[in-house]
Amino acid sequence: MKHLELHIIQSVPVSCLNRDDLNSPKTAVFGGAQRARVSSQSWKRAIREMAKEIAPDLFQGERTRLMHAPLAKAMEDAGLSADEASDGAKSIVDALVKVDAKSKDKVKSTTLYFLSPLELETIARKFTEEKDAKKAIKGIKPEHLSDAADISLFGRMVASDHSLTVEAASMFSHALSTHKVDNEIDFFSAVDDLQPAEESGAGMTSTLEFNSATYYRFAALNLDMLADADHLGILSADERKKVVATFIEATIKAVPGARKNTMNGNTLPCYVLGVVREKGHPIQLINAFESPVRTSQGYAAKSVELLQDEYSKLKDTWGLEAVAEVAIPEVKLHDFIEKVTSHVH
Amino acid sequence: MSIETSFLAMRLEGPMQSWGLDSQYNRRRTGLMPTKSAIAGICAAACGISRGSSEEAPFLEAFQVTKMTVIAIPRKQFKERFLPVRRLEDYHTVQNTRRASGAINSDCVLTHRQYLTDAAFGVIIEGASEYLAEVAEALHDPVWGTYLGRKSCIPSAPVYAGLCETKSAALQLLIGDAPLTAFARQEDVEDFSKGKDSLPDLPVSFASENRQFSPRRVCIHQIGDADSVTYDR
Repeated sequence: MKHLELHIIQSVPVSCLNRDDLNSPKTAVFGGAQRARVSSQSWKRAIREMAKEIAPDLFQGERTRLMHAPLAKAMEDAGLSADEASDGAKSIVDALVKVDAKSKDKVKSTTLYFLSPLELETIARKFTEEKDAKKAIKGIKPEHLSDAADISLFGRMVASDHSLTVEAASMFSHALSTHKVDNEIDFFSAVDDLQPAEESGAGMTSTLEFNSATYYRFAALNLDMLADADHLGILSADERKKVVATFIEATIKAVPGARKNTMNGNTLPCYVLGVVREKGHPIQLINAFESPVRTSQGYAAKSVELLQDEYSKLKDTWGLEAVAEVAIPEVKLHDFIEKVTSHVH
Repeated sequence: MSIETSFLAMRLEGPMQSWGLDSQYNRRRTGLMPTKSAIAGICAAACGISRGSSEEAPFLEAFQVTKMTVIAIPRKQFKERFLPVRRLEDYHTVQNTRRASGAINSDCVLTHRQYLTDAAFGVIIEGASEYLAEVAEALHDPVWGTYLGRKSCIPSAPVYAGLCETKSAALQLLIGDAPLTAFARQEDVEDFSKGKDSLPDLPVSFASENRQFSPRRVCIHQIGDADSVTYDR
């Protein structure tokens, strides 16, 4: 497969980007030492949201339980009466994701459905022609998802009708710190503003956990899959380039929003290696840090050095050939994206 | 044997891996060894065969008659230190799930997803040469992604190790000159006299609405156990 890989080194100070059931930052053991971890699903969500901001016209997918109103409106526009449209929309919601009987207006769906505007319009049009929910849904083809690149990139799972399931073209691994990390505990006290002056003591005291880490992040994108008939094959190569450019920019810049008001961890990567290969499958460079980095000079510089070593070793050992290798900060973000996306077909 | 056999060697190396064997509902566990269904899935995805498609049935029929050997290869750190393999349990939240009655559950559901950390495996598939040659080519340059049991478990080395004419050549690729008896391993066997364990992971169909597996008889060797078959090494 033709694919692109992003290898990212990023230092995040005091933060708790992704927590477990005890509110502790997530961890994993790698190379026998505990590391800070941010799950792929957590970082992907931040990336999805940012992609929407960067290219709203291409990333129109919405996860919603409120399909009924826009569906009914689209059917009215296509010429149905208000009642026909409302009943029709309800039958479609029910066929796709089941209507939630407990909802107030009896038209809210039970689960979230990842939907694109063009898809909605298509269903409404087909229903107006066929007057049958099942047939209308069967009319959804991959080209009707062309305005929701997020669905092609990140996939969607539709349990009620597997023909609507879309396999994600992107692959993300869990981000791991390049060094050993022990979570720290922040003891804090809060003052009661209205407490009488003669009373001493805090209004409340509590603790929360956090850590600081230099992460290795990995993301890959199957460019062949992105351009196939089940994904964005309907778009022009230029439009696909724009999708991939947005994917790269959002992947590099987005940071999970957890505790952003108290421990804002919004940093940018200090190093990004972009690789495009014609053949083979994505391979991450995490083994560069299998022996946890130990240094008194900070972790980032050493991590970048080890990453570069690992990459050249990997190329030597397995004879991997790349058609593009480009790194930030050697080149600016704009040129980086330009160079990588020139290989999008 | 009229059909020529070959030995396909695969290397499964990555910081996190997950090999579901007995996952139920919201507890997604991992076994300690890759399952045959996972290996079949990796190969089918590499060939670009979609779930429940017309190409899937013949592909899996051919896969069912192959014999698989899985070798747990401990990861070394520095010169002599072997890393212990651990299970990691990830805490993962999902909203709007469905109850058995069909009603929706408005509470947030927790799923517990297990992963193996610091693990590495070698896999050898013994089967018809022509079939394995196709699979090998696909693994070398797969149509869809190759990952270690879950999409977030990206390999840290190429998965395809080689296609050999003998088992000892395939072993050489995976463990070099080390004796096979130095590793914990699991082999497909013909009948009860050769192996007393069975695993429910031989894939019959990956179709999303109707996944089916049949049992597979295996022999499990711990480190130091003598081999049931001797190879000229």
